[in-house]
Amino acid sequence: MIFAAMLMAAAPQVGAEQYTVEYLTPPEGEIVEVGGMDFLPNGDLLVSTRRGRVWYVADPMADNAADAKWHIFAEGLHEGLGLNVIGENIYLIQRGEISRLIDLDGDRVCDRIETITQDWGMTGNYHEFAFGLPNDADGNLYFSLNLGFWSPEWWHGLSRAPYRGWVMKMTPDGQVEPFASGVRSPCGLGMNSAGDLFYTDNQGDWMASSPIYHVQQGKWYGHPASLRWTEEYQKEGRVPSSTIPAQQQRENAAVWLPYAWSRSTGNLEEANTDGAFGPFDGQFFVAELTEGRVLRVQMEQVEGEYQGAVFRFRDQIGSVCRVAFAPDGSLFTGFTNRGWGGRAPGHGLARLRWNGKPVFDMHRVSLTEDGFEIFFTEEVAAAPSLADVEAESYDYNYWWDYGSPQQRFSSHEVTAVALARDKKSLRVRLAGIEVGRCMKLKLPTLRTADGRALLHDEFHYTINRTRDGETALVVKDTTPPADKENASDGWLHLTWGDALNRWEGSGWELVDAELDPNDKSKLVTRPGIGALVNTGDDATDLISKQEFGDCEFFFRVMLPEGSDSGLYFMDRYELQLNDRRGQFAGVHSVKNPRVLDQYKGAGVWHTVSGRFFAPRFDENGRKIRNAKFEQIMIDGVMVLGSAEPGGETGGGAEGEVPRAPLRFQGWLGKVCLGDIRVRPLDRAPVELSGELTPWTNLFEQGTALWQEVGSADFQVSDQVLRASNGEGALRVVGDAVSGFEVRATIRVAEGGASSLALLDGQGEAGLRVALNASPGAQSKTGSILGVDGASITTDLIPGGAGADVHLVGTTEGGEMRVRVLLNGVVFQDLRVPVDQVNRGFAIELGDGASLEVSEARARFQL
Amino acid sequence: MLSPRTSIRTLLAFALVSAPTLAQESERSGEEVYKQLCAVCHGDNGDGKGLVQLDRPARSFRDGGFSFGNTKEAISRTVAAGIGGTPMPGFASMLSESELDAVAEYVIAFGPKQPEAPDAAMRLTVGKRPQVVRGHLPPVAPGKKDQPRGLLVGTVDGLSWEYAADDLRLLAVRQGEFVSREDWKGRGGTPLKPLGRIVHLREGGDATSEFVQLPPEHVGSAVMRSTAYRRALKATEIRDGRAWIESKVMEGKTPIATVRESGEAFSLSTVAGYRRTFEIERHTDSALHFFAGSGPRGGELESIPLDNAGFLCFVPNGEDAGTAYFFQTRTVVDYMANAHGVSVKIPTDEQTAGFAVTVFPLPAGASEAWAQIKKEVMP
Repeated sequence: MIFAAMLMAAAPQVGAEQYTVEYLTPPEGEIVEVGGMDFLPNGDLLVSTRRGRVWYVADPMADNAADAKWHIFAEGLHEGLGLNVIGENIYLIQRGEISRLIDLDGDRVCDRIETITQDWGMTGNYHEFAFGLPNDADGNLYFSLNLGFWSPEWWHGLSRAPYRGWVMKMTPDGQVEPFASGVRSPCGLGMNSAGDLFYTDNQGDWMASSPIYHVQQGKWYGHPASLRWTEEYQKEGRVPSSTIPAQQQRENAAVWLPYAWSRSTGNLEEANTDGAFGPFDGQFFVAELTEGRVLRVQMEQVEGEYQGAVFRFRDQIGSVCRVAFAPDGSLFTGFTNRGWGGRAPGHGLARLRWNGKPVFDMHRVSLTEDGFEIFFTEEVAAAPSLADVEAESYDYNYWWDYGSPQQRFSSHEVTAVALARDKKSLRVRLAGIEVGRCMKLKLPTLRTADGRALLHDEFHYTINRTRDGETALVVKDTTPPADKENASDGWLHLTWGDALNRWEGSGWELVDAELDPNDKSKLVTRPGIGALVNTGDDATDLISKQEFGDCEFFFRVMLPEGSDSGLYFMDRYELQLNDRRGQFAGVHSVKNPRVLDQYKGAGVWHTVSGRFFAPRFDENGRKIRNAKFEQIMIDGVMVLGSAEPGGETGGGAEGEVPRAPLRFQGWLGKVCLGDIRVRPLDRAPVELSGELTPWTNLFEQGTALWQEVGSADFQVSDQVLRASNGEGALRVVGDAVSGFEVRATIRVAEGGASSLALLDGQGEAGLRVALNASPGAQSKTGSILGVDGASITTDLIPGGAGADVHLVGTTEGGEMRVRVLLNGVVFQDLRVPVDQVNRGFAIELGDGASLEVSEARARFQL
Repeated sequence: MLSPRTSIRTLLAFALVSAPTLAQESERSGEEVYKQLCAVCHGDNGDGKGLVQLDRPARSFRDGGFSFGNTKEAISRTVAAGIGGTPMPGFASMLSESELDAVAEYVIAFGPKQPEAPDAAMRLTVGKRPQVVRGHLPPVAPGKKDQPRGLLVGTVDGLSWEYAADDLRLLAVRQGEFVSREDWKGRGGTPLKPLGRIVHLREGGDATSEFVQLPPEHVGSAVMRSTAYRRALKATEIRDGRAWIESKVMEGKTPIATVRESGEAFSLSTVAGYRRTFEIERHTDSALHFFAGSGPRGGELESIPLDNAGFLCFVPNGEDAGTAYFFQTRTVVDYMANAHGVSVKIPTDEQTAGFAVTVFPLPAGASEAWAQIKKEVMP
């Protein structure tokens, strides 16, 4: 309720009347994903990007934004998430080095890239960003190193190379010193005019929301992973726990940004514009990517410690990752949202200018002994009534879970308000004001003498310290949540990794797509992995190579205006995917959705999930139950309880059958699909028949049945095998059989290759099924190694996820027919000479691999 | 009629001798160039069945597959530079730029029409200016480590030079298209994809530092490498159409020398390779050697001093089997080329030194090519 009310009140408060946004359009076809910006002494702008380029924008402050001229100054860089021009020197932070870029011949193209330092560690993890790059008066440069995130427990940030999770300092002679620790995803650094350094972090583990910390040497900001590189941990060889709080003095953030206002915070820059940007000189302007806005932060020092308030400033800009003040006092914003998601535009630049119109706003607030003194940019008509001041406080939880909700709300009675004689400040006295909390204060009725409302009527002030010196942490130690279950267990990710490998169809490709701003019935695409799109003119339908029956499903979808597609379960029953509220996510010609406003229209990505059940047949093949959809949801909200098609819904294969492929319609209209997953709720009927041995539990007596080869560790406890640390195999060889079934729940970690092998009489592998979740591996789990056309390059089973792996061998026509099922779906079906595979099996481990096998069992036909 | 066993050398020698005289008149068409220079090996109709029988068959152009890139730019570079380690020589000295383009177009026309690569936008190509790319590089060979800090230099002759950038080791030399910037996709952080084919994988993908305190020597049955100095990347620079890499050779935390290096394709009449030019400035008088590669295991290493300050040698087996080295030095230097390895001593009595090492990455036991190198290089 609070959230909804806030959004409604917020809508008109964009600041658009006073602050114009002019977009500087990159050259045709170029994607400029901004990571750093600064101005040259001549007023031209340099923009570093995630694509490893530095753009030179000449005349960026031209009255007409279209007059700015762009060209590439440098290219082939390893990202550029911070750029700083100091005098004539251009400094850039790349993922792996701090560099100086030099144009030797004055043609405005960089000729020489000097590597000043590479003195920090990288493992190669995708999230090991390096951000920067403000300087202090002594010429030191500051930068920050992101933690890495690894599957499957991607929510635990880890520091696997020195100084990941630290803010670092580089001295003018190029020496690097670790400066402060405890950071998680520190996307932005900024320095105020007093020479104090600040950094922003992003919500996640140990980060309750997005904070702005005052960075001081030797201090720790709460994420434990970085502590690994402290002297104390190094001496003892300790690695910080990902779930248990570290015993370490934790600092308060100067300001916590509420999640609803900032979900991915970028950098911050202080305004020093001689009034050219309005009345806020000396305050910070903060980039906010997801919500597409710029926030304003004002701080004060209470007993030497920074704390302060955040205000909204200007909305509806774009995915703002970077802000930089131009020499003329306008504010340049740089956009990027690739892989992170955020408001369009997702790349390019915009310039914010104050147009000189009156800005009636709260200018700054100051904590008093019993409330706040609020200063305004203009005279106010009158003090509000006590009832017209809303005050509510909250705090956060300190834990490893991803972010914390605002907790322990309390409303504060307003006991007095007093307007100053000059009518430009208001004292508000509050009951029960407490240290270690954030105060939200709202003045919805305040007006100027001529009746104008505040541009933004709300602030959130972080109270770390009271005027009488009391101090407390805003983010409270608390009982940690229970361990997360692995949400990927049992699912088949049909589009992870190589997105098209498990599908048939032409005219589809993996790209990034968004609506064409000039024609919303069309898409514009660029290289990327954001969406599977039927870009081809003669695109066909997209049909899964595998057959499914009962299943839970999940996928993401986005449609252009007026487009029409659909997902045919079993090639027959259509879940509608068209740009029509009232039909989207309904079952064609059976039932429309009951909730209409969950479909937000063209250009918006939605997740669609639900369950589907195949029709049932008796022994004679007569249908005894209809196919059925259940609990169809859009973005987690159920829009249709159940729908039961009496037969095929049209446009699909004829006749009803027990199992068949999935089919996305591609010929009729454009559609963007993503993250298509299926969790089978049944098992394909592939079983041995005839006289069989009973199931043998393979690890009932530890590894007694097995022969161990190589140097890997194989340990069994509670009938669960854990294998890791080197190359090796567990083998069991016995008498020849004419049929077999081996089945287990297998969990493979990222890194290294392993396999489940079928053996001949010499114990040699005659067939190997890959168990491999390593990024970049050519044969992922379910592949048959060394057999043409039997490679699976899709990450069906990601690292750490448990999968039901089931091998069935039956002698047919003098050959062994081997079928491989993953989570009950047949992925391989091939014939091999009987004597190559009929004597045993092995679990094989390559270097760097580790896996866990539970519920391992086998039975045989003798 | 020529017998199928007619040596490629005889034929190419014929082609090479006659070509320049034909070339003087006017620019030749792609077809003319092809017929004069290419058809002997690749066949009149591009099917790879020319008059000569090569140890390694010439490519058929009819299926449209090109090992070193299928664009006009890539093919024209392959024609200009040759293909290291194969009988395909470079024709740069014989053909004008427009002839190179024309013959490339002619060759492309043999194959099926190529659709534009879907990831064309992510490809970085090298035109008239070399390209230097810093980024995460995938393992250079199966089983090797990736390089979170990598450096890939693309030179105008179609070679790319793949370095580990943490300690500046040249891992491999590639030829063909340059690189696909896979990190433009997804969330970022994806390794780059070098597109060129490896023509020389140095020391099997485990190249060690090339700057060492002392040359390697045998201790018992093992070859001991002396202290290897770390090389720290200091700068990359594009100057006069060449890419230069500047580095410091570090003895602990002390820089003992500054090294500038630049690479290019190098071709003899029927053998192609690559050349690296080094400029070295000494800061201390610590002993310093440049170690080019391992020697043969057990067998003999043939090395020949050259009058004009340099030497030539060939490694017939071992880790670097098939590699022929052609050192040219500014001044006479001590060199060592034996079963331990191939290295030169950087003189201490002068502050700066310069040398070039040309490497011919031949298949092991390519004695015919070695004989040809000797013939062409020795006075």
